[in-house]
Amino acid sequence: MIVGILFPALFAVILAIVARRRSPAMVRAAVRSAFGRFVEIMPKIAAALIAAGFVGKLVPASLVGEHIGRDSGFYGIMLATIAGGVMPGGPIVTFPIVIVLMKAGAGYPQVVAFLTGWSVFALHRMFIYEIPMMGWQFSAVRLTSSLILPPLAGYLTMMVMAVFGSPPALF
Amino acid sequence: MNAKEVHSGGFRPLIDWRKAFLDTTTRVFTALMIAAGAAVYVIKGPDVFYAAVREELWLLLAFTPKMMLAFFVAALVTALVSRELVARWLGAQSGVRGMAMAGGIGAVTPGGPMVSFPLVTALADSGAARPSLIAYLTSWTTLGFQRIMIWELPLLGIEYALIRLIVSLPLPFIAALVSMRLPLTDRETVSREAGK
Repeated sequence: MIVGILFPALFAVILAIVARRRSPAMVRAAVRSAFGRFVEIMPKIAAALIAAGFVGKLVPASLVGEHIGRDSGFYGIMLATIAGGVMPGGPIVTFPIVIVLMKAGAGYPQVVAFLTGWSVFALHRMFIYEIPMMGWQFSAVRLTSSLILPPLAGYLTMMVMAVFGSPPALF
Repeated sequence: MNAKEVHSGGFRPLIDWRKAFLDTTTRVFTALMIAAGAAVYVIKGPDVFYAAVREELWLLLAFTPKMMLAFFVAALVTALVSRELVARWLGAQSGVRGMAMAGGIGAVTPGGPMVSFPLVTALADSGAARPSLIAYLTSWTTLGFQRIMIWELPLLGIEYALIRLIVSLPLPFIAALVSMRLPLTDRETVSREAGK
């Protein structure tokens, strides 16, 4: 909790000093831009998080636990990869869903596979940006090269957690 | 886009209230929140409903200051790391060194796909090697500092964010190495012939 805010705060101070050296106006502009974006995004996140909390109460935890729980292994990782890959939309949608899944007992290796699948496949981003700008062949090459990444990330997470133990439960 | 806003600051209104509270995303999420809340109240009863509201408000309270800080960091990095700078770093390297550079630069590139893709397109046209482009894009999506700062650290906490970051470190290189084995695209064939 404390570390969670200290680390970004330290990072912010260092960056602010660097930016101030270049021009003090840059820091002022950054504060304005950050505050503007924060206010624009906050109502969406508040609504999404509260909605996710409600949905979490409605989703039977046994269902999540059975399919992508801690003991779901390879099957859970593959299922999470596919679910992540077909997730439409950006982080405002995805992260509240991740919280619902973790609350309902999803294993973290499965969550990592889900997040990685969502990051590298991101079908909406592919259709809007990548294919029109880079061509479908490039997209096909990138997609093929990335197929193995989400399950691999899930497995590596399993190994890391087996060696260092799993962090305290979040929710 | 953001870089320009930051540099020219002062012309942009501080807060776009309409965009914040009345755009489609906000409306959809608000509708979803009301519908799901009503469903919980009816199906699970008022006790579960109020417990859910309390839990979510606490989460939001813990999350708000971290998120605010994250946006400040993101704005500073956007101002400090310009698109031109990224293009210069990326364009100058090739081979294994290029892959490593591309991986590192992908992680610090601020902004969304409307920043990254024009950059990747320009680099591809100027003859950047495919492994570098793939490493760059994979790193930008899986290691991107902005997502970690704004979303993972505030919502999941440092332990979980750190685990995901560590296991994702090798991913850009793996994707780049796999991509070297795949057949050339038409575009690459054309630029290779032109290079002869």
